[in-house]
Amino acid sequence: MIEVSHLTKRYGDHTAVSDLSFTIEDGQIYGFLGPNGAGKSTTMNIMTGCLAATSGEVKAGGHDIFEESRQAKRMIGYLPEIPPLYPDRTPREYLDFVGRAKGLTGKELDGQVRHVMAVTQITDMADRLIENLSKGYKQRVGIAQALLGDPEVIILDEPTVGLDPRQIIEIRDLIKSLGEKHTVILSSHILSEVQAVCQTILIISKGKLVACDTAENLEKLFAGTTTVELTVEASPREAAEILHALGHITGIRTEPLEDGQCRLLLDTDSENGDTVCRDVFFAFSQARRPILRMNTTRASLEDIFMELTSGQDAEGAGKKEADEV
Amino acid sequence: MAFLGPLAGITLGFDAVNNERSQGTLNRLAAQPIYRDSIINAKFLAGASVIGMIVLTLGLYISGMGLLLIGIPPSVEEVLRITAFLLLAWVYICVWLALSVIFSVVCRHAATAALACISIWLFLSLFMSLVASGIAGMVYPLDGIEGFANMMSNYELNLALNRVSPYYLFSEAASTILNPNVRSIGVVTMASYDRAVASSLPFGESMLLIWPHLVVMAALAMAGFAAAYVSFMRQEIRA
Repeated sequence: MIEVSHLTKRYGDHTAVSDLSFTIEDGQIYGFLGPNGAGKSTTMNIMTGCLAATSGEVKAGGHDIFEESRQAKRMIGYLPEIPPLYPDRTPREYLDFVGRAKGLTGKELDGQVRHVMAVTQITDMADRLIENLSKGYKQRVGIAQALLGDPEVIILDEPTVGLDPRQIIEIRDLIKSLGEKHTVILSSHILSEVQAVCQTILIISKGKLVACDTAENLEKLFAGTTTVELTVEASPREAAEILHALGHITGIRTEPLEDGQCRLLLDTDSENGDTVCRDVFFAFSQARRPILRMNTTRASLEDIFMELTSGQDAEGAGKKEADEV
Repeated sequence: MAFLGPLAGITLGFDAVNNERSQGTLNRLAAQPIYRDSIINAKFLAGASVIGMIVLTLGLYISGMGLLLIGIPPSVEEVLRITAFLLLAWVYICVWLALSVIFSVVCRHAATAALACISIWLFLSLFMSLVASGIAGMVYPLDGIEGFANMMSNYELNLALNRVSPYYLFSEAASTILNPNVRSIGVVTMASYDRAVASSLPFGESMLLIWPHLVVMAALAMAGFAAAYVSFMRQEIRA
């Protein structure tokens, strides 16, 4: 659907995007993650034809965004970070204007305006001035204009910034429903949002793609160790003796608690987490020492994000992942 | 019209692009399936169309009022003169529109663009004649005995410098096209009037006199728009 090949964008000496390549496939919701200044908005601006690239190419449905901009832009609906709307117009007038810019006329235009207003649930607000709408409704108007012309790809740049929790949930649900018919690219630095909404995650750091995979696969790839945390009714010495014979445990940390209890942190390889839990359960059961609490902790998307977007290690890991992409 | 007309052009153009940029709607527009130059073309054409409507409406209104008050229908030549004047006024205001669109592309803030346009308007409308006579006086002094020899050169330079201003060009052309008794512009000597028939000038002859003015103003408007176009196309539109 969208192919980004060796995209580079320089502002003087500063390289905002460096040799970025990835492919967006049909019918998925992609999360575009990265810290501030990573090059997300620059990439999106180039992908939507607002900004020229220093080198590289972007193709939407086989059309080059720079050479065949009209055909390529027809395939993309774009909602910038702050929904840029004309405050002195009503949603209906604004959508009518955008529809005309997209080449819609007559009954087709009227029908599409009605349809996108229904999808984004702004029909009741159609004749109010945009400046009088709440942020949530403004965002919906922004999404409605992105949907006009029935583009195959919808790019949403930070669509939930500044919204209250209820509006965030509503917009997320809307994005999920859009994902059923469109390919959606969602740019955000809210990890929970990306995890909740997106099927595939692209992580960009310092203008380079450092990861592209599903959230689960990323967790598997980057979760080097799993930590089993348990609280048992035993002294640290007794607990260490019980655990001594067990395999797959690479590290044990103990912490004495009150009432003859202790807290244990057992490090293991990610694939052996369940085995260790099972072995630990039977070992303490045989020793007649009750386990009061037990849970495993894996590397979260937040940990992965931090690992990939900070320091030199990130660049190394990034190269590996980018090569795989 | 010569003094206040530019305000209409400046008002329609000074925030054409920078306001879209500051509101964030420019990159939204650029992301639509339209060619990028459509934005700047539309900004200028919309302004020019509105100016056309204003000028035409005012012209028809004043003509109608004149007809009601005087009760004498205008002749074909008078209608042609009024039409030519309205065309001249439209082109003149479009010059200012083009200038203000340039500043709206170059300046980040609408207020900066407005101030720049207004300062140029005030300079060319009020102070250009002072500057022109000052420069002409320095280059060709009129003092002393050589003042007699410099008189013609001084006048020609003064006139040439004044004609840099669209305000002067329009004033000169408007007075020529609206008043058939104006038989010439620029320097008139006794030799020029030698054996001339004392009559008013026909419309065609008046048009010949103001044709260079009209062409220069149209060229100024187009050059201004071209500068705004090139500047806009070379700029980056970032979210």
